[in-house]
Amino acid sequence: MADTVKVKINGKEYEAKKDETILQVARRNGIYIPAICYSDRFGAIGACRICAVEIVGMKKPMLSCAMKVKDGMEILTDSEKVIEFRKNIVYEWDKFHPLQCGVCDKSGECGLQDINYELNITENPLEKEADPLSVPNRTIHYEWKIIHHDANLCIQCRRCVTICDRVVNFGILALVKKEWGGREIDTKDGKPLDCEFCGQCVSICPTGAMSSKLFKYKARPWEMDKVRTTCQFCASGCQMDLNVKDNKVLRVTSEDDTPNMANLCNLGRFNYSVVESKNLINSPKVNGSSSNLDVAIKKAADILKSHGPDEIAAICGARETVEDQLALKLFFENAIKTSNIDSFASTHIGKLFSVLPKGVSPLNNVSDMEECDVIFAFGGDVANEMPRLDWQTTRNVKLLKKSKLVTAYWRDTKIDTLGSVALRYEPGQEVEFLNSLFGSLAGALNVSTDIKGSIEIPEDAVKVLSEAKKIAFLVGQEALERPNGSDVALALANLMLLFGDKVKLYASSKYNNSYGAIYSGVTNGFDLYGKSKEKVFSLYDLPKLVEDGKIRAIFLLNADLFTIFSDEDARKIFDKADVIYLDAYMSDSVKYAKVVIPVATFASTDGHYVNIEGRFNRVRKAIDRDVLMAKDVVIRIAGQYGYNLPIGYIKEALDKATFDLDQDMDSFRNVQSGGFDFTGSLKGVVVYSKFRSGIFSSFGEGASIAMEEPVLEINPEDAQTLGIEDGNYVNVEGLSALRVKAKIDDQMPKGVVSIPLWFAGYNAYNVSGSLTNLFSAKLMKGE
Amino acid sequence: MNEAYVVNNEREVILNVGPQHPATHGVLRYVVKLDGERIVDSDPQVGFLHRGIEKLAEYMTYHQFNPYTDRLDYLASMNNNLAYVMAVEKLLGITDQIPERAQYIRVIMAELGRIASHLVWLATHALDIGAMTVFLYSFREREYIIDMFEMACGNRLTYNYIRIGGVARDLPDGFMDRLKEFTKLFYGKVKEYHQLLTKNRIWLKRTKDVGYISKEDAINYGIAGPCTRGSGVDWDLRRDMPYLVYPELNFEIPVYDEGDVYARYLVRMDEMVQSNRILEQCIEKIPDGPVMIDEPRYVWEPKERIMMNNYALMKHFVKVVKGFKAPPGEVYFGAENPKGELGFYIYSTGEGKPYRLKIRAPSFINISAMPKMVKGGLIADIISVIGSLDFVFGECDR
Ligand code: SF4
Ligand code: SF4
Ligand code: SF4
Ligand code: FES
Repeated sequence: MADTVKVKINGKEYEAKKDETILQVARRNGIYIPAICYSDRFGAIGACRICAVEIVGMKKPMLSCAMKVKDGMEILTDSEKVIEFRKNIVYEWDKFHPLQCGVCDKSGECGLQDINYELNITENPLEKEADPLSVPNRTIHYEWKIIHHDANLCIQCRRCVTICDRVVNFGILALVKKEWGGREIDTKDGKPLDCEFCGQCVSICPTGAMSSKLFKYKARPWEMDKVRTTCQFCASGCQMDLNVKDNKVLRVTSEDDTPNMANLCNLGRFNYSVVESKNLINSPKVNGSSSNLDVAIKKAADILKSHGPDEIAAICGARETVEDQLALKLFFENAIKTSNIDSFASTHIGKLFSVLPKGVSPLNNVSDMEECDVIFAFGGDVANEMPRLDWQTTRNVKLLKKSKLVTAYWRDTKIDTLGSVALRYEPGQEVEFLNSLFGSLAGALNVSTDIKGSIEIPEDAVKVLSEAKKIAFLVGQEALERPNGSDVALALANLMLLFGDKVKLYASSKYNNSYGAIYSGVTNGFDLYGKSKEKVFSLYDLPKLVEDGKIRAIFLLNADLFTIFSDEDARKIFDKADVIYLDAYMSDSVKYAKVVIPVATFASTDGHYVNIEGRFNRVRKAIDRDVLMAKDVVIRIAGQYGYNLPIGYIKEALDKATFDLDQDMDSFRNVQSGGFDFTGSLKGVVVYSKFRSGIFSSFGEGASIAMEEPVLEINPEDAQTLGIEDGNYVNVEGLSALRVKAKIDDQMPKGVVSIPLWFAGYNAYNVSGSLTNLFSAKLMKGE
Repeated sequence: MNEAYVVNNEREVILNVGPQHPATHGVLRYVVKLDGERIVDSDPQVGFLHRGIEKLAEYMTYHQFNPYTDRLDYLASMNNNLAYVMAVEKLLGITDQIPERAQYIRVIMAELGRIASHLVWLATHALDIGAMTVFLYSFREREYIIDMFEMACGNRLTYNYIRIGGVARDLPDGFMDRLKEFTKLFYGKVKEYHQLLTKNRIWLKRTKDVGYISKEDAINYGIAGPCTRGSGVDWDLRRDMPYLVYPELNFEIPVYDEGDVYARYLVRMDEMVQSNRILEQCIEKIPDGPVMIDEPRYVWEPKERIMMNNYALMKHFVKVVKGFKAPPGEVYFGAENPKGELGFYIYSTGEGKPYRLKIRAPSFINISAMPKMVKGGLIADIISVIGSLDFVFGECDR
């Protein structure tokens, strides 16, 4: 075959693909070559030179991580010459390295220790000539948030620089020339680190130079047990290890063999302290005062029994495990005998999954995005909503250079810096935009249709999209949560149907188990396994149903109503209906609910979350807390009904673990273009922040240090007109007023401001109205 | 199903001896099928003390596993340390580099261990058969040895003294004097034991022609150590697959052909004398010098170096946390332990922990020959045979 070659490594012959590097071939065949700067997460850098090998016939050792194999190449991985070469490199690193392993956090898992051991270094010839007094004083960045950098420990392998650039696509780090004559890792602009605080640099640094301030001096690596579990902050389902000692989670790590390739975002890596936050609910409450579990369970059952089945509804917050959801569903359908169940998934992916077009593939492995030559990112800021999709997009476009990127949103976002065909529309114009795009593409693809819109679609976008062989649809949660989100879903469905089986769908969700909420049939319009079902009860109607006295008792499972409704609407619900509330964290719902029962958080529960890929990810118990899992609470309440939950049923549902989604949409539908009616000149949008996922996420250190308070983003010109400066507090007036800090951002389009969701003691829906993410904004400069 | 559990006629009775029985020397459940007092068939059931030591090894660095070997045959912990450590050294290819002084110390410890182990055997064997005095005598001498072990390493039962690369520390002052004293005294003591038992009529009745196993069967069952040498098999690893400084020492391998409990008794009695001879020679020959190799790749470096030298410090962490990287490959090493050949098989993939570690436990293999030995004999023979096989369940069940 033309594309395979034969090479000899240490005298033995191996087959290799033509474009493979020496390191890849060696690793595949179990031959060890040390490599410090290379990582599968971002490819070769060529900085550390430790991976050098001897190639017969070549004078100088060559870098195996970068050098491609050639037919007949003879490679020696540990000849005397290379060992000598490697030793000289390590001497250089060691020359000024402080004698500090005894206190260094990295000790025991340090790449520098390992290579010193491996080469059996016992003394350093360079040290003799180095005058100890000449040791340059290097910077220790005490002032950075969350991340700590000590340049004295750095070996300048540039892994941190590279991961920030090639994986996170943020690119804030660089090797910068310093006064003492050498170079150090620092921010490009020399200001204190202000970035995504994802700690990817910490995770990849081979030494203790980049470390986590939150973990500093807490424990040695070998003292902790690693519990593999699934992140609780978004539906990416990143696999991570909780590092536990003495019943405390001390840090979070991830391994290269995970589907997320050890990548984690700020929430996943640093926000672990939520699981022991002081805002955990510690004891059950009945009518606002502390109670015990037996009383609370009895009371909950009494409340439910005192109402007719049709007067009771349940809402899942889409953060609980599939097991919890199934238990709730069984209890409601078989004991209470009502189908009034909905979940937060119905605010976004629920809409899209009930109009799934024929042919498209709805659940895809994120890494399979690599098969797509075009990525179409629509309706949300991927990096904020689902970082894992952001990393994969970056990998496709920047690293592998496999895909073209088309973005469609109302502003520029980070992924546009990858080089994109950028389509822009005004917030609220999603349907109009999709119809226009559909019209233009239908033309290009010779499909006859009368659907069209008024927005001009640039030629190059039409060309790229219409020529796609495989296209990844990245659908933003934000667009689906528009007041006309169902129409957006339908317009999107039209567009996907146009591409048919070329489409791989990735619909983002900030709720870690929203896909599970569809699978277990606790979402309006979905039955078990995600089969479609008649719509009976929607949480959108809840305020009205309660007002009219149709719903009198509500069972909330991790569903804090203050995170989807305005305070006013939520208060009304609590006033008129009897609410039973199961959750782990304090919230306003706890204050007003009739019965509150604390349940286990993700680190103390056991079960499964279903992620965007439809993968059933295990959630494992890492710490003991004296609370029940939600499913056990449900089982005990059901017990008061004399109903025994068929546990085998839950097991069967879990064993199946594949969705039976109905994809019956097979013809284009006409969708009303009508958007949102803004009054006044400023359009307000409620957006997701990359540092928050649910109000409870503000209870963790990682997120709250990275972003202390909500900010209003505004275009410089608008700010100037209104006399607002960066950092000023402004009162945002919509339905009611909120006070937030202004941040001037030149990527914001003129006439648009945005405020984020989910900060403690702040409810963005007070401005925009329940379950609405658009509002006509009035800004007043605050004091 | 094993014949031992099937009753063929109304004369046959099945009886459980153990697992909790004073004469089973640990938790052995011995099922016997009897016809009157005659043993028709029998089956030893082991495993009550299983701790999964071999599996545990896969989760430990090579250094970490050392103390676990103490818990195999806990009457001969020194010898277990030695067998394991020598297997690891073979894997690392450093067998030839072990300093001579360390080798002599190892031999001293191994032979003292052999004597101590045999003394416990003698004491309990005689006690089981009804001779109380021997028990008191032999424990008196064993105590002397254990005191010496305590001098050397601080422990009286589980020593962890012989380490990869040498021994944990040099012999303390006064050790050699006590050893000299002991070797001088011990010949006389063995004579005392002989006077009590060797020509004693009861002893002879209970041990002669009891628990017979032929030379051929002994080889086929793979039993080892004094048990085979009592059946005429002239095989001792110290001489036939030599290790340490044994080739430089003069000693004889006692062999008896009768194959009964009495022959095995005589073998061990003679072995104690031979071990004492070895000890005497060691006292003469032991050189000065280091007791640990200087190979920072595999052994702990001295504390002062770790605290002063960056490279020693870095490597120390790697060795402690991840374990030293042994070369990939597989090795087997067997040592002549008091109970027979204790062997360690190690499969390494080049990581800091063994991929698989298998222990050839002589106690386990020796027990397997028991049904053969007691078949057709009287039920009371079981007690003498158990004594003569000298097994320990820490090792058998692992
Ligand atoms: S970076 Fe590594 S070598 Fe340096 S002090 Fe820390 S653990 Fe030791
Ligand atoms: S800080 Fe760490 S990752 Fe970055 S260059 Fe230094 S050693 Fe490498
Ligand atoms: S929040 Fe999402 S992207 Fe971030 S670590 Fe968790 S699962 Fe991964
Ligand atoms: S791994 Fe090849 S240069 Fe660093």
